[in-house]
Amino acid sequence: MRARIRAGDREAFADLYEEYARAIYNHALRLTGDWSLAEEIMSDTFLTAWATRERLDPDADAPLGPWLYGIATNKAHNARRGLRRRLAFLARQPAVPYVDDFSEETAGRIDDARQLVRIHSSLAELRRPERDVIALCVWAGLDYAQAAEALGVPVGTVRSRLSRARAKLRRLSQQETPEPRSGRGEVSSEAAFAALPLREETR
Amino acid sequence: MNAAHPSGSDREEAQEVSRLLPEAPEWDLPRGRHRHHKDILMQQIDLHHESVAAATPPHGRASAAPTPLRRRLLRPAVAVPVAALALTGALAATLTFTGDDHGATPVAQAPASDGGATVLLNQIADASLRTDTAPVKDGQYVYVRSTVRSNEGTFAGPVELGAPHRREVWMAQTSKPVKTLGTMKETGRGVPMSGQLLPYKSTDALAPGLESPTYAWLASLPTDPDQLLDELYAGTRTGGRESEDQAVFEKIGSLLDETVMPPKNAAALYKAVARIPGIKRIPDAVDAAGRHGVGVARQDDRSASRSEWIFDSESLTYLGSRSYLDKDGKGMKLAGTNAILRRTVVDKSGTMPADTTADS
Repeated sequence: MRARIRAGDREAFADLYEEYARAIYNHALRLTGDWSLAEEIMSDTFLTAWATRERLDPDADAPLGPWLYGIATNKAHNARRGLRRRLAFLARQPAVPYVDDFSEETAGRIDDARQLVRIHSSLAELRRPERDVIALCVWAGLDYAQAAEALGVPVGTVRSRLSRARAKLRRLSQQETPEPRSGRGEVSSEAAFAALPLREETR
Repeated sequence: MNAAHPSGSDREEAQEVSRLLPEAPEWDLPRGRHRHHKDILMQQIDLHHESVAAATPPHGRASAAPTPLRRRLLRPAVAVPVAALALTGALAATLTFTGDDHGATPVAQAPASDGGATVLLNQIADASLRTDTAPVKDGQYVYVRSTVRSNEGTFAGPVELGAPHRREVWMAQTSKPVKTLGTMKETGRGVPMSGQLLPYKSTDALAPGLESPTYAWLASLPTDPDQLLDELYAGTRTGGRESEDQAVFEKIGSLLDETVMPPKNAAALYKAVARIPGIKRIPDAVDAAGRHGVGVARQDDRSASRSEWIFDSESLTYLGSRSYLDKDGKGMKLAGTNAILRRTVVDKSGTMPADTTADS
């Protein structure tokens, strides 16, 4: 499979898409909390995979998932960070009211939206590297070595990030009533809060 | 994906983390959307194969044809990282970032309430008029290399400044609306896909403008500072609690970083900034590379943020910027900073300027 991907084999890429598109879409969703951004990241991930296929290690006999997850993780970061936005990352960004585009949607869609907000904002207290390993090791089901490959870091780093994340989450879950997030007034709901990081690029 | 056999304790840890988090359901796109994206992918592949076929003599593919666009784009990606690695070492060695922002040398304070910001900005404008900028042509790339430190803290938590890393961009000069604004490469510890050339993407196709400031667009701006400022206020969107003045100050700041513009337009921009209420001169400011200079700053009490631009005290060229945030009411903390190390024009995306040396 690797050799065929590296060679740019059309069928191999078609199979790659079928096998991983849904998983990559979900990964992007959890990292960004944004339906259309996730769709775009998913599509882009495969185009990037195609464009960078020759950099794939030909000898390894491992699944191609980590490679794709790595690309998608990177895209999820860059999708919402221009240079300036990245410098002052978040917070300074005034929260734009959560766009109410559910009105035409079914009740199921609203439930989906709520659930997505819950998933995405459960990571809000964690640092980016910790969010990445959770998305990969917990939700995408990669093992540590695969997550390390995807992120381009040593396995030990993945392990320590995950245990840091665990400690932090455990601490948070013990605080019976989670403190209201230190929003700055305009952040009045979880939804608005989750929307915060996503609005950076759109200004 | 669970196929590989993780050690038991690893799996246990992941499972415990999963219990601490809400359950993550699997979503999927409608089949039509999948078909659409798959088609796009397949079209790319077909396009490539057609161009290879067209460029390859019928009797042998072995002597790979170098012509197709895609291959040309890929080549530098293989060659550059080696150089980049060498340079990163050099950069890391010379970059001792001084975290504190005082050590301010007492410089004669101008009496004006802006601390002399207007005078300084007019000097900067005059200095930029004396510089020489060759016009940038469509099809070329504005290459900017910088050192960047950004806030890696949590959404809700305090500011945590990350380690400095190296950033390079190749901004495409085109008059058409594009989704790929250029190419970028970020190199450093903790940077995902460090050292790799990646497309610089926008969610929507952007025509040249405030969000995609090409040389040609910047050259087309009014050179009358008042008229220019009117346009900038009209074109800048403000949201939330950020004041309009601050938003325009930030917007102009973003035009100074990864761009090349004619001297007369740079001068007009600086003169326009001088007209924004609330700007201050900072006698001593430091960029992300530790270079000291004079600063122009604006603090926005409404959004509890402050931005500073740093200029070389002698030449008055723009060196970089710093951004501060007060997230907890306990005072402004440095939340991001950059330093422009190189700014030039190249003919090909992903290539280094011809005169690049190990220390530039």
